[in-house]
Amino acid sequence: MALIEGLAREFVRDRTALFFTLLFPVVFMLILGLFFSGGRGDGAEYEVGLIDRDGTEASVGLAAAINGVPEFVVSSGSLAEEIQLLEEGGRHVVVEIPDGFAASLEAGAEASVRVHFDPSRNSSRQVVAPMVEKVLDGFDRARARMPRLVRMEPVSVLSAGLRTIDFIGPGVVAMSVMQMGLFGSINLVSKRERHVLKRLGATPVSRWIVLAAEVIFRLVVTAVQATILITILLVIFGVEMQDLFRLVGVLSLGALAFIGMGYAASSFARTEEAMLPIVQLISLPMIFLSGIFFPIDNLPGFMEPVVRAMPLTYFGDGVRQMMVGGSPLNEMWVNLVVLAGWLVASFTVAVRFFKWE
Amino acid sequence: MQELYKHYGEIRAVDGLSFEVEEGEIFGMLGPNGAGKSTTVEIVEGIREMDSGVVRVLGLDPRTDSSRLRNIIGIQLQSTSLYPRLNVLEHLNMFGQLYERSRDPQEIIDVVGLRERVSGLAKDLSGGQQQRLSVGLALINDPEVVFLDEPTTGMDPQARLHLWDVVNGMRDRGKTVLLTTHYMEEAEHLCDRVAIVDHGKIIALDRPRRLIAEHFSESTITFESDGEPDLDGMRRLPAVTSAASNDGTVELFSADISSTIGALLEYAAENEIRIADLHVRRATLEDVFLKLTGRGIRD
Repeated sequence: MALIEGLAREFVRDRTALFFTLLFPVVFMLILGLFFSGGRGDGAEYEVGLIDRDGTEASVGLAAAINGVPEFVVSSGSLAEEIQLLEEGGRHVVVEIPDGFAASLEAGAEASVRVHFDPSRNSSRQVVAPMVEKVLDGFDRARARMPRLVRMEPVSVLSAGLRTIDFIGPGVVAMSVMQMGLFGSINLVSKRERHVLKRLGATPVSRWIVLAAEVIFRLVVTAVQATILITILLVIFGVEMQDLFRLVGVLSLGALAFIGMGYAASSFARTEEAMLPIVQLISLPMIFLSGIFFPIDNLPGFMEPVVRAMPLTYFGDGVRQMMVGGSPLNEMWVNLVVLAGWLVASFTVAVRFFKWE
Repeated sequence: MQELYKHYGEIRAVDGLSFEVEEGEIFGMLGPNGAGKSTTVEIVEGIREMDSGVVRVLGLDPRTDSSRLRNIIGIQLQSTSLYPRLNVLEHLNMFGQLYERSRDPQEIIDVVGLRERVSGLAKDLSGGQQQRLSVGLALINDPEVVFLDEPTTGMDPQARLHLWDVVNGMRDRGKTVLLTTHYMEEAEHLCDRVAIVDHGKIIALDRPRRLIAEHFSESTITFESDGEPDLDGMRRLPAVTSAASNDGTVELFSADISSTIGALLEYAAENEIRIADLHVRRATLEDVFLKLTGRGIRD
């Protein structure tokens, strides 16, 4: 107990550690949340330039229809100005209604509306231009008084209507727990380097208790951090929670596994400076490849075995399933078994190779 | 301390070394860096494995009885092993809780003279203050035997004198102290008995004064003189065993200072030799070490 209290005092006084372990993940989560909680496409705005050369009732009607699209922010100017803006990225598309538009329609002839778009911009080519086309189509049909008989009803594949934050949020929780476990070992190496471990080993307290105190303290800090992050997700971003009780179980298992990995790695570094790159070498690939920020389906196929080997893949999926459900990557028991395997393996290595000085 | 006896086999760091420390004694191990002092002490403390040998501390075997033993010994490691972000009082409180019995931390703070730095974090303390805190931690469980491994290394002279007081205070409390040092004057001032260690072996072990007396029966008289001194004439002075001169500095080795000095002054007056900067030097442990190993302790 005295050992844990000492660790806590040390921790609170270490501003850098405090920032990176507690505050940074929170800030990170808030920023991600603000970017991605919009989800489902609403909130997006597209700049549309509109040039009406015709100025008839028909052309004004079409302009109004375009204006009526909620995602469009419509502005008008001369063609040259608007095209320049399109080139500079200030417009997604420029719609040009030609002179004689109404006259052509009256004559029952085809009237062409020019839609200038930027093929180098995805949103311009794939989103806004088709939207304009749809408006034209609707306008055409309405003019011909043809009822619209076939409607498409969009249904999300993800039953709960998963937003990006629903996907990333639990991933970031998993990532932070991993970071906490791995980076805790740096502190351990620094204590070994300063001979603090040797000194503690010279007291009547058993060495296993000394290490147990370290592990328990790390778990407590991890719990605090995870609680803050999950609260942010639930309260601010309205992420759902499927099964809190089992989530705590998954988090504890994962936290222990990653603390074990950190300790195992610490056996192979003599100094604090040597430990940092080792930890980063372990954690960075996992952060990018374990499906924390995007589904691993987006990765090229040859990466699959690498991704499958990483414990964070299973941990992230486990946390996600317990929080938002969604489409599971693995059966839950697979996640648990893999994490437990890593836990046992890392503690075995740690016990075998751990050095006190 | 009843019995402390050990042999080491093949390892070169500590090479067949054995000694016994009496209860209530301040026992010093003196030797250059790398002589095997720390290794020896850490084996006795039970925090380092030995290859072979027998060690008993207060009748306990450090290998099999380590937790009982550690409750009644105090350990200060050569390296200051402190938590950088805990303060003096917090260190003492925390370590106090790791032992079955402990002294009042406030008392320890006064003993080691850290009253003014009670709430200073370890990383902000000076080297000497960190060292004193380490010594304080070695006293927190009111141990029977205290192990101090180079306690004054890196201290300024004033801090060193203060620490000597602390060690003398332990003697007054009836504690047994085993300390290592590479400072001759420290061993000479502080220790009841000194073991001179070199290359993992004890090359001499006795009371400091006896060690000196045993190896240097005579004292040295040194003075400055003009011109070429008549060394042959001086060698005939009473009790002089040998004489040497170097650049006007004359050294006479004498088995009986008072008769030599009286005769020397008479001789100088008769022969009109001017004597300046006359002083007498008794041999030190440094000289003993030099004589036994053929090199200075800090070489």
